[in-house]
Amino acid sequence: MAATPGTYYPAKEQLTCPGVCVGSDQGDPVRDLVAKYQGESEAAKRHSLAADSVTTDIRGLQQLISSGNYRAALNLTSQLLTMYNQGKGKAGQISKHSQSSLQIWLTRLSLLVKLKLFSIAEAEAEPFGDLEKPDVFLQYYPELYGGRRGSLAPWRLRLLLAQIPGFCGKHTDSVNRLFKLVECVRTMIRNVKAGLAADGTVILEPDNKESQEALECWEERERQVLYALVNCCIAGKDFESAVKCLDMLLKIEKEERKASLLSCYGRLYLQIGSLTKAEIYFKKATNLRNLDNAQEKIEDLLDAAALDIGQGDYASALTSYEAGLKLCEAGSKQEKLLKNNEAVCLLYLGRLKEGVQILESSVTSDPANVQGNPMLNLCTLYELESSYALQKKIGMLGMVSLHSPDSFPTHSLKL
Amino acid sequence: MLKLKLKEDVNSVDHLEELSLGKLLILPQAFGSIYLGETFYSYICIHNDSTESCRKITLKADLQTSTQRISLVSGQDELKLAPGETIDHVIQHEVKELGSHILVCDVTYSSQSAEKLNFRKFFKFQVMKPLDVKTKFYNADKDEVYLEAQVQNITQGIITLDKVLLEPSNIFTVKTLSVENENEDSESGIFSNCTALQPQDSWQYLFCLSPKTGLSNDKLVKTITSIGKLDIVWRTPFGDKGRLQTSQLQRQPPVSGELSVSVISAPSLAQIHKPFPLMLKVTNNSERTVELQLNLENKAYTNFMFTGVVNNLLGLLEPGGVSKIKVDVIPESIGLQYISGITIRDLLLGRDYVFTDLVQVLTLSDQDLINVIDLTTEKTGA
Repeated sequence: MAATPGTYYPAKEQLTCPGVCVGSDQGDPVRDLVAKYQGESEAAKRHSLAADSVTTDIRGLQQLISSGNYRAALNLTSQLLTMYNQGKGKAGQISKHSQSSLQIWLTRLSLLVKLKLFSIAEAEAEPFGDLEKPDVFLQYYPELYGGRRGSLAPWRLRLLLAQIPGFCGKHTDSVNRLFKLVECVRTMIRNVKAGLAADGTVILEPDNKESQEALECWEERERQVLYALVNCCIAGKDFESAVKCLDMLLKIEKEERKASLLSCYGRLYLQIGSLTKAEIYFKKATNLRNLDNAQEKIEDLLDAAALDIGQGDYASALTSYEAGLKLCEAGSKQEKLLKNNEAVCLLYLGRLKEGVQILESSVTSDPANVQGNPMLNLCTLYELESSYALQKKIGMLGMVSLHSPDSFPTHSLKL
Repeated sequence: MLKLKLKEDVNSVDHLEELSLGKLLILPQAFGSIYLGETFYSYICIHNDSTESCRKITLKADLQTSTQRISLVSGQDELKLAPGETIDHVIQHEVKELGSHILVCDVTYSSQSAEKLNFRKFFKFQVMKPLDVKTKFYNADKDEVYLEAQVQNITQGIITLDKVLLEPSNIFTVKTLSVENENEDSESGIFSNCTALQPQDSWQYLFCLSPKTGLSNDKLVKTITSIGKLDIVWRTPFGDKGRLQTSQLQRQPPVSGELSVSVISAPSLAQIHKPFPLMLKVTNNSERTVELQLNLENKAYTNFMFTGVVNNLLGLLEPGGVSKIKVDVIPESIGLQYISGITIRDLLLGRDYVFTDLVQVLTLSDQDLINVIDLTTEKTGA
């Protein structure tokens, strides 16, 4: 039913009314732990970038994120959203949306997911639905955007909203939403290939650079949704569907990524105990790799080691890791990975002390190495090693306090 | 921006940062569950925490189950430890009993201050049943036995069945009748492709046991009840292996009457109103000699008729003896016919034995059709 512009006011249920959750502000858990185990004075020495040390705008947000201080960044998004009338407790109240406000929402929801604050993410994502309500489209604000058509929301936000149910354990929900997205993306691709614009409206000239770019963009988006599907299925232990999604990915993935994808099949089959299938896929991956390239050779060695561990042959796995360490660049990510895996292997071979030494030196040699998972392994090894484990873990806490941002997962210290 | 951060995470795969299944190994944080047939691994570490050195250190580790005590580390060596040093043992033991198990570690040592010190540490764990096996036997003719075995996963996680084999008892040879899925691109899905089982799912196997050549007439074949053992090997996530054997599987021995009739040869196709020959074998399974008379007065069945001599004396048949008969049959209606109604009378005891459903023959109206079908089956070898 058409009405004169400016006279029809939609009901609240037809609009997107998001708001920040009350009580979702984050402290610094590292500081809290230091205060608990080493006292307030030590805690006061910790300097991490907080929301009040940066400008209250997008630039400040970027600074906080690039330094890894996600909790401070989260608090800043709350402040920024208050400016758009979508701050604490404003859920359910009508407000206006814009591309920049939705960008901030995307950042906020991504940070919540990264910090594993899934229930808050779910609550705050709920008003957005599937981003189909009229007030998230350009057409709703004719005075701002003229006659432009389309959605205000960034693509990444759509993808994230579809994934959030999966993080809260509702995997079927997520899988359904992600498949709806896949269908949508495939329609866009069909449109572009048929010479239309992505939403099927305007006909473009053939061999148009714009249409080529659009095609690449949408094809990459199709891959992103499929990766999200694989992750969701694996998290829900639905390995059957995960493999089917990997099959879909294999058909459309770029050549240079195919070896890594085949290696993923192998790791998946190891998860269900099928060594024969895992071996088949690891071999396929090896065939696609260029083994003269050091990085690819290392990936190959990692796969071979994983298969050896499946057979219970930790000695061969160790040889593979040692060979990889000779090839890798000092200080690279692969070196950290190899050292971590080597330490785990040494434990299974009865060489606990060596394992502890290697992992400890790897973690302490470079502040960038202080990450959650290797730290978890190191603290587990400390607990096994001796009753001095607590002192050693507090020593690690000191190191974390000096170097890590507030996003460090403190549970990995096992304190 | 967050994506850049993801690239730096140690666990992310190069080029595929979006994928959550990475290559980093993480140590298990809890013992988890252990099942019968799996291997119990343990790391035992003696660490000298003090500032003195210790000598004459002996470690004795035993696994105490509800029925026995198994020694894992004997405790014979006497070792020395300086401050900060460790003695490490990785022990493994294949778990063969269900129920409660306790790992008992007993350490004796002397330090500079005391002569003989001792302490013990315990670790208790439960061993549970991983698989549920159900079997069903079918006794077929020619002394063959078919075994249907259903293996159910009653663990908490996914397992893959590496091997399920039947080790037959001495008398039989076995043939596995399960389908090997060689085509990895087939549409059957990953669980059926590699015999993986979700918790509570089952996989069914079929085996055919036939008596070894030279033993087919042996009385033992008909009466033996122990058929063989099932040998099952499976793997849990990340390749941990488990192995179980069932006890001897028992079947009901085939019940055969005192006289049995089986078909030596019969055609599969016949033309209506034209006689076809049926070769039968009569076996005397009893302990006494019988004198037999064949009676082909077929009153009950109208879809076929026997021709030839209707009451035929077959003569004496000793225990275990076999006699061959030829009978001519004329089909009276079209379709799949079950030939029945052969009566054999034991004249010595005056007893009648009736045999039904001996063989099935497809009756057609047209000889040409029969020829065509015969040709086709010859070509395909069906």
